[in-house]
Amino acid sequence: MLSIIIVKRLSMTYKAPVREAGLGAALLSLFQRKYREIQAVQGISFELEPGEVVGFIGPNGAGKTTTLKILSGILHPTSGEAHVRGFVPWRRERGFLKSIAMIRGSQPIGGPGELTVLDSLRFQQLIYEVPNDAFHKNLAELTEMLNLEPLLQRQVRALSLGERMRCGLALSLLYRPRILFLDEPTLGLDVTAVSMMRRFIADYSRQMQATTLLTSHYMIDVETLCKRIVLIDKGMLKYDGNLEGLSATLSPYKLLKVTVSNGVQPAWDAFGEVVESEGSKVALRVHREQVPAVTARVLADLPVADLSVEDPPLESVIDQVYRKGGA
Amino acid sequence: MRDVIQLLHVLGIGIWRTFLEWLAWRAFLFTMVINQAVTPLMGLAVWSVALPGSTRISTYYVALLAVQLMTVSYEHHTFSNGIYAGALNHDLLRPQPVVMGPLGANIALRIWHLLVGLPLIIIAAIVSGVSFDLRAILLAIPSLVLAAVLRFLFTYLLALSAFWTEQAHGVVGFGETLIFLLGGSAAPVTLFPTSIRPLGESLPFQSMLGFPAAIAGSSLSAMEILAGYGWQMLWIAVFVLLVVFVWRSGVRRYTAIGG
Amino acid sequence: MKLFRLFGAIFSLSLRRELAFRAHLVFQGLMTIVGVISGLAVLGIIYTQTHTLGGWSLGEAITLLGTFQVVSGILSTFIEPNVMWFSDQVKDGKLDHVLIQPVPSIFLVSLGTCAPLALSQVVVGVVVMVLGLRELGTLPTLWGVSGWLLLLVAGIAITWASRVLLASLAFWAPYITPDVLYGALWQFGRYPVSTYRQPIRFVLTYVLPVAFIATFPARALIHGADPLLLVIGLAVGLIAIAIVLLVWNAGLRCYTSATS
Repeated sequence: MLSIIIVKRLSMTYKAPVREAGLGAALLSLFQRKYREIQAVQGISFELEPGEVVGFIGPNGAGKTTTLKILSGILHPTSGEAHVRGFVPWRRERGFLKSIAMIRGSQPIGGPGELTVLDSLRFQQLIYEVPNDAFHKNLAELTEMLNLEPLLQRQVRALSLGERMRCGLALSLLYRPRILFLDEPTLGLDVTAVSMMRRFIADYSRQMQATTLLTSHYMIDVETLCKRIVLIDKGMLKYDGNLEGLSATLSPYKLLKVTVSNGVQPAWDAFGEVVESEGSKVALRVHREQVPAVTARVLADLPVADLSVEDPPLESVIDQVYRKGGA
Repeated sequence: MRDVIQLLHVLGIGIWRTFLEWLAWRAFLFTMVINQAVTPLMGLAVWSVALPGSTRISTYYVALLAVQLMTVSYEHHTFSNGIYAGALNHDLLRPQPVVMGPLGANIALRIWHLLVGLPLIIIAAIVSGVSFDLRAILLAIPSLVLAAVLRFLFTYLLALSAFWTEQAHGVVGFGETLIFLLGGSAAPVTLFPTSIRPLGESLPFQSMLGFPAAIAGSSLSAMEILAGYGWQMLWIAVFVLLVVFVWRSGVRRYTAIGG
Repeated sequence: MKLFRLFGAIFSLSLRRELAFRAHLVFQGLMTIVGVISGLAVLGIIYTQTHTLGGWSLGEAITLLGTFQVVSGILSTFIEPNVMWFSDQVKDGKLDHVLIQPVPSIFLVSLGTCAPLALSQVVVGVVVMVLGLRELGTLPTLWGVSGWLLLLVAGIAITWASRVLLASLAFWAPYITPDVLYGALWQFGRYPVSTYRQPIRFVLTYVLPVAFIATFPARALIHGADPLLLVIGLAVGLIAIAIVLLVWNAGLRCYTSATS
């Protein structure tokens, strides 16, 4: 199938002014501006097929949001190519813009805050040229799925974050975009709102066959929604594939969870690194290749009540990557 | 006596801090100075065409430019915005009178306006070919100080309206229009129609802007100068009383309502 | 065209928003009237000392003031509310939201908000113009009125273009706000441009064409329009718009947005 999003060696570099502290440096900066070059994105390449839901993960400042902004046409990259639905994003052609939506968790709704939600929706209809019957149909569906009825007459700026997120979703999906860029959509939401959001995204992308690119710091979002993960660190692509493969690549360890019968306190260090221990249960970190050998020894030498071999939780794997740049 | 010295010390620190703070905003200061200089400069341009050949009017307006820069008051920004943002609570907790804050900021800003605007004043003086009598300038300096005090009191009084209304900026703006019309910026008081002139001389607006400029431009007689000083001191006394009174009722309202 | 419908929607939404603040409404109206009376008072005093200001009589000067007020009103309604926030938007990356939408960004940024109640200034301006014409004792011809209208539109286009141009500087130097300067220089337009001496007069006619804004239209209304001036006005207006569009697109290429 032909890819709908194609990114080739995309790079984005920009200059940020720097200045040291102190009065002297402040005065000097009147005459001389010093800059630091920041390489937000360095030569990344990947492709997405229609209907894929891909998770974009990486530490803060890794370049995820910058990549999303380039793909949505907000920024011009310094070099490289990108094509979305055949369009070049930063040319910002109308046909392109009418088929994408960008939802940012930190600012779900742009635009004037004094408008009511319904007014904002009508305004959105005008901007995206949604025909009247489609507008009413979509509005009815969105109102029902997102429970917008009590919010429609209220001013945008008077809404809580969760309510704003729901309205932001409605505003973005009103014109049925085929491409969704979601930047930390669950940021700051409470538990009910988060699960609603996840369900909604999953349903929408399935129904509309919408290609979705999602960034999040909450691994559970990525685990439940995405089959494919792209890991970006310091502007470079570090991994592109599925979840299980990620653990295997990044963390060559597995977790061996052993429960022993009461009364026994073995020296666990001989078998592997103790990650957790609680009474008679222990979790050991063991190198993948050594798992069969260690498991055999444990079963042979100790009175085992229960044993399982698991991948380390994605959170801790990613945590290690973020902290050390590799597990 | 000790308290006075302590207050002056606090004031000095306040001035220095605001002065440094605005160092970072120097580009904005430039635009502020230009905005303040526009009306005197326009007055200069228009009146020297209306009365061609009168060096006295040009001298007056160049002096007015200098006085304007040294008496600017932005209390609707430094003070009223504080009330609207709820920041007054911090100031009320401090042991010094709240007026110290805006006063310090006011003086620092005036110093900045003079520094940044000095080239402009010099250029205007050269271009319009005016020359000043040193004695006249010396005579004008005390009135300049009094005018600076009076204009601060006036603007501060208007800024206190923020206790009662959201439109403090509009109130101060209205005051500025009055200063423009009756204070000597629209036309020097010497050119007012004879029916209005006594009114113009006695109202506080002259005392806070045009009077020092008129002295420096050597356009007033000795009697008029003396009378002007008298008016300045009278108005300062009046406004000090008004400010204290309005401040007290304002604070009472603020603390009762909760800001 | 879609842009017109969008503009209409923006206008009606802004009107609804402003009508919600009644005290502000009253105050604004008062301030406009006070401002105009102040302007007339100044002219009054000036004309007790002289009969002509740069070749303009009292009636002519009042008509000029009225025209100036009309243009100021239109600018305050449609352009002012947008240009104020622009460099903040660039600094904070709030421009992103605008860039995503399938409408030319320059339209949304420079005309996306309006303050419809400032149109009261236009009404007051027209009243002042009528006063001025009465003082002159002349009735403008159809040719004069159309010349006035055309030059007014050209003047507004030029002002819009120059302000957006100044605001676009924020793409390359986000820490300066040159537009505040514009407000100051703008005031020079309330008097006939012939009042000012030569270097200033040149600047005000050709560099920052404040003269176009009030002096030329007013002159057209009173004395009849000079066809050459009309053609120049139209040409300059169109060139200004073309330049702004170029600079704007160049600026967008450099936009780096705020890192999240």
